[in-house]
Amino acid sequence: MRNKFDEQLELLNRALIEMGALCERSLEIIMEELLNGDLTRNEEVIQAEAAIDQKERDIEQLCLKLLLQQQPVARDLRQISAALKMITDMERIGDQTQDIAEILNYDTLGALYHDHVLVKMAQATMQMVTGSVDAYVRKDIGLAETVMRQDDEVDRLFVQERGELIASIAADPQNGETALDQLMIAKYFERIGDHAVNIANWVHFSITGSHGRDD
Amino acid sequence: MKKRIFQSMSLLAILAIITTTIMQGVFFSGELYEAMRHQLVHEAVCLAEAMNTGDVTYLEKVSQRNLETRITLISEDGTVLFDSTVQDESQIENHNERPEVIEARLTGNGDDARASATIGKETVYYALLLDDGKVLRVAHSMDNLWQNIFNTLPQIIVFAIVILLLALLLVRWQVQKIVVPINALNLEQPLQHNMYDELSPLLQRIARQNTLIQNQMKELEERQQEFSTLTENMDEGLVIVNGEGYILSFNKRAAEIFDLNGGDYLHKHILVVNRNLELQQMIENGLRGQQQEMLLELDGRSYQIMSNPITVANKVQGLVLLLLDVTEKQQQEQLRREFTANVSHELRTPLTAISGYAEIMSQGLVSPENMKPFAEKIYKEANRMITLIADIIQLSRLDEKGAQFTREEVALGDVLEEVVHRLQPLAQQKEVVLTSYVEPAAVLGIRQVLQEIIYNLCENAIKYNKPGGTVKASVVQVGTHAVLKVADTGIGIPAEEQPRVFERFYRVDKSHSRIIGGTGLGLSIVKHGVQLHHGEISLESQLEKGTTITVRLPME
Repeated sequence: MRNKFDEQLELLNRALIEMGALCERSLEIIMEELLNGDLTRNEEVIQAEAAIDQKERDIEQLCLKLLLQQQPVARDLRQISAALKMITDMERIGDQTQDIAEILNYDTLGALYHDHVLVKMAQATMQMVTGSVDAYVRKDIGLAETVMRQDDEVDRLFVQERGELIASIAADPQNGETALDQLMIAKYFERIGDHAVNIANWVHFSITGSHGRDD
Repeated sequence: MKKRIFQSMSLLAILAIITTTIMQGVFFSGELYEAMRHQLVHEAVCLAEAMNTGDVTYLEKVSQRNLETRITLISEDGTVLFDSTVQDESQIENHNERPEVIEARLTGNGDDARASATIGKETVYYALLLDDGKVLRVAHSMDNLWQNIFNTLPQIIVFAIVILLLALLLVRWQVQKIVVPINALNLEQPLQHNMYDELSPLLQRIARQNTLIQNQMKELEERQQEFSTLTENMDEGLVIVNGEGYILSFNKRAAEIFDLNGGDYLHKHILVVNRNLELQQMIENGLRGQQQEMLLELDGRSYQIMSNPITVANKVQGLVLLLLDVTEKQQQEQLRREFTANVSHELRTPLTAISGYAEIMSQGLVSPENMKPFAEKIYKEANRMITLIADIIQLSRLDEKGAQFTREEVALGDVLEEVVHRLQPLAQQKEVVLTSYVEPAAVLGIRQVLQEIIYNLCENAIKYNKPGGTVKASVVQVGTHAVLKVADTGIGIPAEEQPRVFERFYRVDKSHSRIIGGTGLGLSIVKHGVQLHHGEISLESQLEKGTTITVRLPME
């Protein structure tokens, strides 16, 4: 019985990593698009969202099955309940990357410079998502805590981008449309950062039984 | 073992009980018979004495008291006059033929024992001849041997059960006692504590087996060691996964590539190591038996990953992943592509110009007085192409590691002074002061290449200078090296461009290169030339302040 349970837990573990990898891939594509202005892979991001949703349902089903059939306790229970919460955050990350891809579809920002705030935000959130998935894979509390701290940087970048966009509109109201789109993208990145923090939190919870930091 | 010992032990006990019972029965029934006969004789004698004096009524009285003894009085003609067990004596047949009666008539007394199989009893008879010629017979019945044994059967069975129970306990205890030292045997050193001689052959076989196993283990370990030494020192990363994608083994290089140090990744799924989607796809395909290759970017380096399924009996049992660092190869490939593109571009530009001028001229659109400047332009562009092609040829010859060059002792100072002399007109034209300082230093090298190096460096220093600037070229000897230094006060090279100036066709200021001239191959030729001499080249530059290039060449 225990063997079967372990097998299913391992299956859950793998499915979660795969879901994380899908999110990372979408973010990666978005970042490349921001840097190159080349939208040929945009469709991939939009389609990945469906795959992420499917993964969420699969994992949800697996978790419920485990809870009902095995009635886990202690650490196993924590792991499964954390998984149930994590997939919600991952699914949101998938949604938000898709939203960014859709904005890019009708408002191409062109190739941005390396030090553009949006590129920096993309890099920072990408790092956070990778970090949180890595923390899960390696059961690394330190890494989870690092991800939680990184959120401050993303928040700071959001405020900076907002300020720059206000200035840009003030300089020429013609910039308004693009500025709003950019603000949306920045906000999505900021939200993705928050979800990454949530994931890191759940990783922390599944290992220690307590949350790392309350947001 | 317990069962078998118990079986044989119970068999023994039961056999013992049966034999003792029979022996006892035989012995006791003999005794019993003797005692009974003795008693019969006594009884008969007493009765006979009484009968000699009394009459038959006495016998009737006695037999009323004692029913166990059968008393019979037989007359001379054999008719039974009295029998204690029968009411009507006339019914009884003539007794004269009975052996004991015949014997008594002959010798005065007679005895016989007859068995009655039907009632399992044996009757003992004793007859005495009375004084009056009658015969008095006394008989007594007793159980025979089998009946005796049968009578004691219940006791014997109870006794047997008790014995068997005892045997069971005894066996259990004994087996335990026997087995404890066997279980405590040290199988590594079986001959050390041999408790039972009977076990010696077995223990010796175990000892032999042990040595065999040890040897085989050692051999296996050696092979494993050999294998891991080989794989650990491989430049390529090696990961072996089983049929489900779980890691069976990985070498040091693979651990470095995937950053696996400080964690237990054996028997973890490969997904835990790297979750790249293409890699997962490749492993999935691999486990379906497909061989595949892919390129994976990790921490800014490129790795070529080859997956090879291991098939045993038409079933994929695992996958070998080989990881090759192809970053340099990729970069070189990139450089080569850029070079080809650049060469084509650089060759096309003058050719387009030449073709354009020639077209205008061929259409007769050029007046005779303009013919000369047109021809001059064509000549200039053609010359540019010749220089370019010469440079490219030079570079490809250097690429071939200078196979066709002959090495000789070259005095660097002399070469420098000659070059400086040749470049003085150019320096004057650019209003640059060109000076040289020379110490005697000779290197074993290729004169032509060294000349090229010095010429290119000095020419660059003049070309990328500002009017009124200076160029200081020097050759000194430092230890075992000859050091050539060319320092200018020119426009300098921006820090971020510095690593790239030795690349082919690389121009710092792309927009002005046509005015200054040159092919973009100069410094590349220098670098290759220096490499050909096993030397080093370094560059120091500050924007708007000037550039110093130092070349160190080993003298031997």
